[in-house]
Amino acid sequence: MNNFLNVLIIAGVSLDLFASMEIEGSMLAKVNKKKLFISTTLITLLQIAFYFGGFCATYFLDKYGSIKNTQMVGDIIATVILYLLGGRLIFKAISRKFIHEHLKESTVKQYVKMIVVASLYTIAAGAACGLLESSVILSLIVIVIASVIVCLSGVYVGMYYGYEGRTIVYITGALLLFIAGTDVLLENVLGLALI
Amino acid sequence: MENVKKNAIDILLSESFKELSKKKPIEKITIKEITNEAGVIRPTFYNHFQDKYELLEWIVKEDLEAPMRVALSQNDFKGGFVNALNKIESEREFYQNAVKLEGQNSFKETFEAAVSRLLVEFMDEQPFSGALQYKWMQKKMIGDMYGGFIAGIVIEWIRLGMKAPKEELAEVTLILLEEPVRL
Repeated sequence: MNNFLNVLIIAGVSLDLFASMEIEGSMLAKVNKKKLFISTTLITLLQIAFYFGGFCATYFLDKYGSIKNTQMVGDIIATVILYLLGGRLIFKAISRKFIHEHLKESTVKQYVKMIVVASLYTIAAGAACGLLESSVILSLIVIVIASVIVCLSGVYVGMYYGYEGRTIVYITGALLLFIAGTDVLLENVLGLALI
Repeated sequence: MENVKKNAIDILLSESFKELSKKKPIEKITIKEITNEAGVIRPTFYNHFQDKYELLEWIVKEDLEAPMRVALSQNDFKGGFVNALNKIESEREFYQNAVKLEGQNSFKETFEAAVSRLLVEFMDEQPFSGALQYKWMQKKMIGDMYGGFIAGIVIEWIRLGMKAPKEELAEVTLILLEEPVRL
């Protein structure tokens, strides 16, 4: 799988995390830097754990499983996963869940709980990348950078600008995942080069 | 100096909130819109209020409860009531939108609580001694009951377009409060 695709997938999933941090940030009067640092570290570690959990599960199944034509099957499943993840973000953009804006003293536990709830989707993204045999080193680097950036920027953007921009964030994330899914479909499944 | 500055921002935010409520329902107003209209940064809001419903509560306390408290301290219920109605009428659009708020943080609930506080503060307990003899009956419960009644009259007046003359409405309210219902 090409590296650019790998980045697209992780970026797409990270934008969901950005929107969640934006909502949390929108309820703060000021940022407790120590809590934010601890939360960012924990969230990054959890993202790595969930991503590689999914990655390893499908990578080893693909390599050592007894399914015939695992390459093709893996690519099809990865495409479906990417489209479903993108569809979920579109649904979130359209549904525009009501948020009661109120002052909140965010705790590390709350941030982490938020990520654990969303972890299923990071596992799914990891599973898709495992099926596509993404580079482990590159995935690790991109996840760390993406998680740190979206955690920090999400909180500050939410605090100063609110969470109204989340619709655009969800749609952008969905587009990245759809582009990645379409590329896998055209290039790997149908044999047409795209990116 | 800190208190004066804090109060100035409270007023700025409340004016911004009232202005926005003329253009859209209160439920749809966001903190960002309130702070943009007021010309302050978004986190400033949370240094003053927990949420927009606390801001609404502040408006009710400042605009309606405080002037009524002054009048009641001079034993002038009718004057205080008319002053409150005058204030409501002068900001007609805001209050007509405010009464549409439903649920836990409604204007009705906020206003009832404000009236109840005033009544508990200024109530002469003697006429209610028969009721207050019971352990479960508290002065606050009486305040809440009458608060609901008075707030209901005012809210209905707002909903019907504020057509009834304010002096007459105040007089009718006093009659209804003072005269017992004969069943």
